[in-house]
Amino acid sequence: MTRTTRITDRVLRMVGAAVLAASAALVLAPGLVQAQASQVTATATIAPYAAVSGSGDLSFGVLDRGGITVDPTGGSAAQRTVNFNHNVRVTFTGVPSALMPTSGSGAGLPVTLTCAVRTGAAWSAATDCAGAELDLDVGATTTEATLGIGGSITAAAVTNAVAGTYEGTLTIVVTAR
Amino acid sequence: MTVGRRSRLPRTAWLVLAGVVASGASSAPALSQVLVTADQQLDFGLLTPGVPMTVVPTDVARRAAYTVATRGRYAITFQLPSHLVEVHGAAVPVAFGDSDGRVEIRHRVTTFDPAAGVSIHINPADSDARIYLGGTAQPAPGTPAGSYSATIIMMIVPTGT
Repeated sequence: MTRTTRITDRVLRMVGAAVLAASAALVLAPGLVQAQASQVTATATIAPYAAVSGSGDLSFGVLDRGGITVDPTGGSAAQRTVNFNHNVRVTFTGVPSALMPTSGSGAGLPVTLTCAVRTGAAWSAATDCAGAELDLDVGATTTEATLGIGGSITAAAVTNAVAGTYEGTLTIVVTAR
Repeated sequence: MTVGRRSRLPRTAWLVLAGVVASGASSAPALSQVLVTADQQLDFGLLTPGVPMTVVPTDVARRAAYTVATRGRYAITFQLPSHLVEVHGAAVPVAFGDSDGRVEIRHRVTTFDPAAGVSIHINPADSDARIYLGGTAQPAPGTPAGSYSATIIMMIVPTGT
């Protein structure tokens, strides 16, 4: 083997090694590309919410003599359901102190309306609807309450009233707190 | 004879080497230059307890939006939340349907299931891909008021040129 041939072979080996290295680099190139991640946030807002549902009026029935009391926690009371997702306060406006005759313009029939609220199985104590503030708190499972509305008419009021039909209306107000 | 062989073969080899290097230089950066931008949050807006709210991926104002600026083939997957949560721990379930994902590459539109992910191919003539996500929030009755959020992570992995 001549010196020229040895030099040529050495150069070729170097070139070959360089080619292999470059080829390896090429093969590895995609491996250098890293997975990328990017993130966004999903958002939502739930606004304070309350709803009152139900129907049915409070009826004292036919009164001929003597008074009557309807327990707001009993089955004869008018009931409404309150659904809420935040702490609320229930108040009553326009609470009548007397039921008014549906015909004519005679004197009213004095009445006291009482209210109570049930969360779970327990009723609160009955209280005068006028000025009542019934606080309902959101608990782990408490998002619904039942309002009961009863009242009383005294015997004296019945005795003094003109025969007829009497009625009155109150408004339930649910306020966030 | 010896002189001719000595002068031709190295030149050929160097040409091959140059070609390999040039090839590597032109393809590897094209794969590695991936610019992913999160452009917009997924905004379900104001919810009412008990009433589901759906954001479709064509909802320009409320969909989640990403831009992927690159070329080549990529696999895109998502880490999707099952709930939006608020600071006190209350949660709103969130779901992603079969067509809540959308890819737009120029005028080509593909819908996909975000849970399954999608493969995209951005041709050299294209500049980028737009990825959009919708979803449905399902607040249960009685869900407390508050601000709810969760993170959606998009992952992109090159799969070829």
